[in-house]
Parts: sequence; C-alpha cells; structure tokens
Amino acid sequence: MNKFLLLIVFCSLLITNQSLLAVPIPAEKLFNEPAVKLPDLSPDGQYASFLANHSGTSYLSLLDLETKELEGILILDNDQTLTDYNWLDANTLLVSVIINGQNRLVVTYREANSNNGKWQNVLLDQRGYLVSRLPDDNSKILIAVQTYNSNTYSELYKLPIQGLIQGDFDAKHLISGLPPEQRYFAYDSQIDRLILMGVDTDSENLLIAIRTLEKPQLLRSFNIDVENIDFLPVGFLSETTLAVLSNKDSNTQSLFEFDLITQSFGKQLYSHNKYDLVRADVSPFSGEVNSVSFNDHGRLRTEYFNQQDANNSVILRQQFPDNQYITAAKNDVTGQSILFIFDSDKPGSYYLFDHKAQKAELLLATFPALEQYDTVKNQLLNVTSEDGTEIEAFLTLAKKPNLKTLLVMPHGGPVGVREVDAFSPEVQYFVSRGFSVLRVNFRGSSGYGKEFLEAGVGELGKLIETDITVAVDKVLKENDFEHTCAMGSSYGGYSSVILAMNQPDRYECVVGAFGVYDLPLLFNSSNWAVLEEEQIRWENVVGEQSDELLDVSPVYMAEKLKAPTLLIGGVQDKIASVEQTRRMEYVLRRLNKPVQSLYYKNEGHGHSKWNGDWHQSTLTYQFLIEQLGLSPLQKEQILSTDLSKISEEYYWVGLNYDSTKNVNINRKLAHKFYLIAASLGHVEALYQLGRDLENGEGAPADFQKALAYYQQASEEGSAYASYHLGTLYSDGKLVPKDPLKAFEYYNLAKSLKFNATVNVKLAKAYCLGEGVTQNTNSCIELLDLNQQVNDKSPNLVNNFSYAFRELELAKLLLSEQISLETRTQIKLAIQRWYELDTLAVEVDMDEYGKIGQSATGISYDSSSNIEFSENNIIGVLLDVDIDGSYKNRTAKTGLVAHWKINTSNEADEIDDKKFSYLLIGTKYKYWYTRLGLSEIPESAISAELQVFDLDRNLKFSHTFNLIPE
Amino acid sequence: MKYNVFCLAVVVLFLTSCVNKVSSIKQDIDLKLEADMGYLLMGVDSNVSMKDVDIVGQSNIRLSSEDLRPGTQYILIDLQAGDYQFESIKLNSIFEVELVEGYWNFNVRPSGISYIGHLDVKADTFFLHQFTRTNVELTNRSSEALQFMETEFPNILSKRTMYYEGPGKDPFLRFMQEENINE
Repeated sequence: MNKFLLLIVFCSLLITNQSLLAVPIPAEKLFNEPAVKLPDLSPDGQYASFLANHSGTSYLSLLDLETKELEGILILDNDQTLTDYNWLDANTLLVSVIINGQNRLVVTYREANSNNGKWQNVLLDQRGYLVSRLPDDNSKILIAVQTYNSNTYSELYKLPIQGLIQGDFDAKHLISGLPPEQRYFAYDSQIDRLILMGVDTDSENLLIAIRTLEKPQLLRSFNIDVENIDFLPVGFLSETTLAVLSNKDSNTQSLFEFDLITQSFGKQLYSHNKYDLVRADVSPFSGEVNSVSFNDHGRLRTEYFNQQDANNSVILRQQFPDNQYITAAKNDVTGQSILFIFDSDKPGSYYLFDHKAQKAELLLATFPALEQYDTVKNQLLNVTSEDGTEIEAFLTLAKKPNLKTLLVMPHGGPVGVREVDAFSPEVQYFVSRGFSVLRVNFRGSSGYGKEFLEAGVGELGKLIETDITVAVDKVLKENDFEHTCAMGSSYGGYSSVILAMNQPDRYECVVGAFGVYDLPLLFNSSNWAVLEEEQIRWENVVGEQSDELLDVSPVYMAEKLKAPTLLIGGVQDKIASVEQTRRMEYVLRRLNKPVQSLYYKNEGHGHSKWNGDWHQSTLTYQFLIEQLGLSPLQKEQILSTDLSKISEEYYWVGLNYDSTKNVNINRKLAHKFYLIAASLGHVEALYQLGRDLENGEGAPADFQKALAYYQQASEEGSAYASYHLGTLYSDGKLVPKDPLKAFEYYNLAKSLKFNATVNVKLAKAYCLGEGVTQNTNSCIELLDLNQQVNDKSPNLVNNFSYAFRELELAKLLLSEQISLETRTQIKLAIQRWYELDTLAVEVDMDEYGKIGQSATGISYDSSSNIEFSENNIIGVLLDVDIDGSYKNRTAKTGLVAHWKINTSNEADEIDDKKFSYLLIGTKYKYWYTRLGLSEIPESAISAELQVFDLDRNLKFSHTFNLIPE
Repeated sequence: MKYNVFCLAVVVLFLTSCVNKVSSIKQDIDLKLEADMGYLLMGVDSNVSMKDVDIVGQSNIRLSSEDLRPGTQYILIDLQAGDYQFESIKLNSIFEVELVEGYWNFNVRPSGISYIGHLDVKADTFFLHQFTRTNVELTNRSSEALQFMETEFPNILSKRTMYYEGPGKDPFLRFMQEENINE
C-alpha cells in the first residue's frame, strides 16, 4: 500500500480518539485540497472509491470495505490531474484525467472474477465522456466521443465494456441518426430514453429531443427560450413534463412541474415558506417527491417523503445529532450509501451507511490533519432589522486564546451569495488564533426567496450595512469584546470599509481584499465594461448608474475613514479591477490616512493556488495584531509539530517580498517577516536575516550581526547558511580567508543536503589542497555529477550544479596550483563525462566586437576598441575546426575561453581565473564567449580573450581595448 | 499609363501624409498649445513588442515600436482636439488585432490632458510568426495615470486639467482635481 494511503487511514481512524487541542492551526492545513473527495461505491459493494490527494499528486484509490485496506489503483504524475471517474462494472472504471492540458480518458480495470487481481490502466486514444451505464445491459455503456475533425463530442457509441478496454470503437457500435444540432447527450434510465441537447445558433434557444436508443426517430422535440425562463431541471416526470426548481411564480425557489410543449409552469410540487429549495428528488411518471433540501438557517436540511428514507434520516440524526449530512453515493443493489457528515466545526468525513444494518461507519476524513484541533462550532443568531425583517447570522467565538476581538466579515456578492453553517477555513484560521468572527446573511443574500434577494439590489452602503450593523449591535451587547475590525473580500471589502466609515468609533481596523471601492468604475473599468450586457449585469447589483453612486463609494468619501486599513488587490482581477484598490489606496495616502497595501501580480479575484491563501491569511493576521496592539503569536502557543509549518508561513511572506515574482519587492517587510519566522525557529529565516544585514537590504548593513545570524542558522541546520559561510571563508570576503573553515562549512552543507554545487566546491578544495590534504581521486569523484545522480545522492544534482561545475573545471584546468598529473586526470574525466572525440582543434574568430540587437538577432560591431560602459558587452563568435569533423559531423571537442583583464590600477585585484569558461560542442555548435563590462573594474584598460585546448595549449587570442566613455 | 503612374503617386503621397508618426513628450515643459489642441495621455501595458498602432480622427497618428515595447509605459503627445478611434494594432508585420467597431473610441479635449486608458495587450505563445491567443483591451487605470503625471510631468499637470476621456464616463480624475481631497 502507498505510504500516503496508510497515512490517511491512520489519521482518520486514530486521531478521533485524542483530546482536541485549542492551538493556532497552520494555514497550510486549513487552506488545502481535501485528502479524499468524489466518493463512490463499486457495483458489487466491495469497495468505496475516492479521488485522493497527497502532496499535490492525484490518486484513484479503493477502500476495501471489509478489510479497510486502501489501495491506489491509478497514480498520476504531479503535472497531471484526475478530475472524475465512473464505475462501469465491478472490475472496470472510466477515469477522466488532464494530461498536458488535454482532457483524456483512462480505463482502469482488472480481470473479471479475480478479486485479488492487479488493477491495470489503459490510456484511450479517443477523447470523450461517459453518458451512462445501461442498467438493462450491464455489459455495455453509452460513451460520447470526439471526432477527429471536430472539437465536440458528437459521436455516441453503445460499447461493450471489454471493447472499451481494447479501444474498439468500431462503427458497428455507433448510434446513428443523431441530429447534428443536438450533440450533447444524456440518458434517463428510469424512462429509458436518450436525451439529445443543443443550442440553436440563431435564437440561442435550448433544443431538447427525446428518442429511444434503438430507433432514430425523435419521439419529442422541444425548442425552449431559456432567456425568459428561470429554472433548474430536476428530472423528467414524463416525456413532456419536467420537474424543475424555479422562483418564477413563487417567492422562494420551489419545485414545479414544467410542460415542455407549452413551455409553462404547472403544479407546484413543493415549496418552503422561507427558504429556497437547493435540490429535490422526484420519481419519474408518478411525480412523487422523494425528498427536498434547503438551508435552514444555513444548515443543510433534507425532508424525506419516502418512508424508508425518512426512517434512515431519524437514525442518522440520532447518531449524528449535532452534524449535517448529505448522501454522497448510493448503491441501490447492495443497500449501501456513503454519507458526508460535516458541520461548522468539521470539514467533513465520509461514512458508510448500511441500510439493512441501519448503521453508519467511519471511512475516511477529508482533512485528517485537522482532526486533532479543537475547531469551533458556529452559534446561529436571529436578529430583526429596522424594518422588521428577520436576518440570520453566524457567530464563531474564540476559545483559547481569546483576544476579545470581533471580526465582522461581510460576504461577497452582495446579491445572490450567502453564508452557510458549514466549515470555513478562513473563520477557523482566525478563531484558532483568538479572534471571534461574525458573518451575516444580509438583504441580497441568496436562499431566502426572491423578495429578500432583490431587496439587496442597489442597497450597497445602505440597507445591507444596516442589516450587518443590527447583528453587530446584538453581538457586541451580549459579549465582552474589546476590539472590533471589519474584513472581507470582493463586496465584503467594500462593506468593511463602509462599516468603518459609518461607525469610526466602533471599527479599529479594516481589511479589504479584491474589493470594490468606486461603484461608477464598475461601468467603465475597460472598453468591454461599457458593453450593454455588462452594464445591465452591474445595474442588477448596484442599481442604475447615477451620481448617487458617488455618495456610497468609499473613494469619494475617504475622509470619513479613520481606521488603519489593509488593502489587497489582484492585478489580473477582471471582476473588481485592481484600479479599484489602487484608487482607494491613492486617496487614503493623499489624505495621510494609515493604509497598507499588497498587490498580487499573478492573481485575479482571489487566489488560484493554496499558498496564496496561506500568504494572505498570515499577512492579514499580522496586520490585525499590530494595529490592535495585541501580543504576537508566541512559540509556546504553537503545537511543537506545527512550529515548522507556521514559521514557514511567515518565511513564505518574507520570501515573496524578496522577489518580483508574485508581489512588489519590499525588503523592509521581507526582513520583518523573516524576523518573525526566525523567532518561531525557522532556520532559513535566520540565514535570510544574515543576507539582509550583509547586503544592507531591509535593514542597515551590519556584517558582524550577519555573521552571527549565519553561524546560528548553520548551527541549527541551515544548509544555505553553511554553504554561504563556506564561500565567505573560501573567498576571504568580509572575514579573513580560511580554507580550513571553508572546507568544514562546505562539508557541513553537504551533510545538510545542500545541492551538488557543494560537491563541486569540495572537489576544488581536494584538487587544490585547500583546507584539506590534496587528493585527486576525491576531487574527481566529487566532480562526477552523473555518478551522483545514478547513486541517488542526497545532494540534488540540478542544472545549476552542472553549469557551476563547468566554470570550476575551466578554472582548474588553467590553475597553476595543481600538478600536471591532477590536470591530466581532470582532462581525462572531462573527455569521459562529455564524451569528447578529440582534443585536436584549430580556433579562429568569426565575428567580434560590441554586442547589439538586430532584426535577425545578435549583432557584433567588428571593433576591437570598445567604449567602457557598464551596459556594453564584448562578444566573440569563434570558428572552431575540429580534427576529423569532415568525416564525423558529430565529433565533439572542448575548449577553455579565458578573459584576461588588464587594469591601470594594481589595487583593483581580479581573480585571474574569474572569467574562464569551459566550452563543449561539435564544429557546428554556436561557439561564443562574452564579457559584460559591468563585471570588471573601471580601471580596466584592455581585455584579452585567450582560447586554450584542454591540454592548455593557447589556440587563439585577441585583445580588446577599453576606451573611457 | 502616365495617368496611372500619377494616380499611384497621389495615393502614396496621400498615405504617407495622412498618418503622422508620433513619439512621446520627454520633457516636463508645458507647450503653448493652440486653442483647438490638447494633450493625449495613454498607457501601454504589453507582454510583447508591437509594430505600430494607428489612431484616426481629427488627425491621424501612428505610434511606433519605440513607444510600444514590452512592459508598462506612457505616451504623452499634443494633438488636435476632437473624436478619435483606434484604427489598427499591429503586433508584427503579419498579425493585426481585430478591433470591434464602437469600443475603441475616445476624445481629446482642447487645452486639457485627456487620459484615454491603458492599451493592455497580452499575447500568448509566438509560434511560426503567429500569436496563438491575444487579449487586447483598453483599461481604465486613471489613478496610476494621475500618479504618473504627478511624478513625471508635475509642471504640465499643474497648468492643465486632466480628464478621463476613454470609454464610459468616470468622475475620478475630476474629483481628485477639484480639491475635494484635502491633502
């Protein structure tokens, strides 16, 4: 069994017995993929199947329901993704995967009648999707396939499962007579009909046709104007009647009959007087409603009208009195179901429910890493707004530590979005760190009927914030809070700023992420925003365009904002353009208001990667405690096994500020976050602190302190710090040159698994006898990177290691410090490693001079007198004639190019071998060498290019005179 | 035949005279503009270099590759006031971005500085001289443009009013310059 699968089972089954821990939860454990998802049951009831995830790798896994063994039957590479799967029979699954960005199908199967047989995988040439299994003919499936000349899945096969494994898409299995305009397929086994769907290209109406599998004649054909009908189909009641969820003729979304012929709503099958239905299950033909589901105060509630299901529901409520559940998979033949049990304090676990035994049994947890924490359940609040409307809210109170701080978190939208009483990683992140969180389903939230929803339109900065404030008033009155802040994303960012503007004495800080602060800008953020449909879309949320929008836009009333504000924006945001955040920041800065900002360069309206959430939550937490003067997270508060993760999160924020990749560089902030990470025991943060102080970045330069940081980091296990110390002592940079110490630090870095570059450093020491007794064999061994790859050396061999070795080999070949014998050994090793055919070579110059850009690529100005400017680069294109290349075009050789710098100032010492390069190739290689003038001292007066063969015979030289600017 | 040659010469003369190649103002010195002239300010944010951009209207101008390099930059030019539209955006001598009529119009106000938006060009993999996918839009980044003028052309900005004259109506620049914001 795979190690990760053991881990999941172990965590799922063991941790539930531990006492729960009220400690800060690492962001990485909260904001992440579930360990398992998409459960299903095998047709014979032997297995529960899941898509499993471990360290970014997708697995299709089977849990044997008898032995409880978990087995990975399809394991993908890290750059491949498993998206869906279906059981075809007890021995075969059809799996959808993404490989190289393409949707592909894999058949995972084992030989029939071999319960212990090995599962095998076949990647199909055809691309498509499973339309349906066929209950009346278990050996066949319906599968839609992409044709070679089309991007649509327009061919439909009724295929034997065995044929699918063999890729036998023979024309005899093709279902004929399919109308060309309806090429999306479904099959309703209950009415035994093939359903063909498409869109009319002229009218954009939905086209639906119904036929049997056998006969091409269409039994029914419908043309539905979807623009004017708002509904969600639930199933066919008959060939001409659908069961649909709609609120066209009711306030709440209810279950209706819909006549496809007249395109009109008929009988109302079920309606809740307060809540919208979110799903329903009906029996075909009889029209009997089996169940309906809705969110009752945010809690998923299902009403069953079938006696058996109703009885099961009573049993489950007894077994899980405090939790919510949904049926995630069902096997009617075996009477098994997989239930997903979850709640606001539980991210959820899958249970097997045996309908016969009336018992539920734990299978797997979706987030086993969270099971040890004392996550907090929401309190459900009802408040009455000023106009008498009942508003629902969710309060999650901090346990320990309790910072007595309320975070008011308005949701996004604001129209058509809602909060539910389910597990929220964001809420639990802050609650585990001592904050309490209040979320409100204000006017405009979905789930409470049409009137409630539409009441929020155009009420931005008005009724919506009144609703929130009523809930906040109640919570503050009934609880003992010392601080209140508002934070939210999208509309939540807007609302947070408005709340703080309206009640400056209440809100002490604000966080707005990916927010909207200038409502008129929604209508002109780009030339596409002025399209009529875009304008209507925004008017349906904020109301009609008028100057009144200025009165509720934070940008135009910024003087009212007193609270320190953190603004976070996504540069690629196409919903709330980053200009929204930039404007808010600009105005606040102009008014000298306390504002901090962060712009994610590669993100849009939120994060596309989990580490973005880790980054944002860490940054936000730090902002909150600093603004409120609360004590920062202490090492002692954190579970010892979580220290590395939480300190890594601070380090991650620091690293991001240290490069231009994700956010703008801010060395000072990088330094600040490294300090926090180091205080929590992060050794690489200590190394970064040393770098900051050595280079004077983010903090004033202080080499003694830098050295102390490096030494501490090295002692505590930092490979980077050990390597860097080795280099400092080797080069005599800022410390006296000490080859012995250098050798020791390099050795330490090697033992700490620094990459193979350190082996090259050690090799050089052995060859030169620096800090260690000269030993050519050790030198050659350490330089043999390919062998280290074969030996699976703990020191990672990467491209940089190879490039670095080439530089060092060139220097060693030219070194006067090594003996002829050692040089010969190195030369022979080079010949072996690079598979050189000959060393006999003649060299001349093809092109030379200052390098420039031309329409065809790189150009050379053919001058030997080069103006000394730091932007200038001298380049030489060599003409290399390899002995015997007229017979063997692939004959390889090697050269060493060396740039000798002559200066007018003797004080400007240059490492004589600094600009030496090993060049390898055939006659037809693009043999070039370059010298950037920014790298050499201003006192340089000439640069001589010397080219040697590997026996150190000078084969070519040319001098460039450097002319002062 | 002579007549045809004459016609060709007239056409060539017309074509070369109707499009003025322009380049951005470099110095912060306010020009003495005629009453019917104004400044045009646009941003260019592109991940590829472009060959040229043609703008037609009161006068016809061509932005050349010098001002259309990859990265973010601004183009500030003096121009006859009136209505304009983007006529063509050429990424190279082969690939021209197709512009939908009606969504690439702007106005240049007399005497003022008309910020018309940022020409935002994101082009994907270049393969055999073809761009596999391009996303081109005119985005409103008024606050960035205002900060650019405050930093790079404070003298011109102090003597002129800056307006948003790109697609749609946006009160932001007007509001920021009417001293509604106390510094």
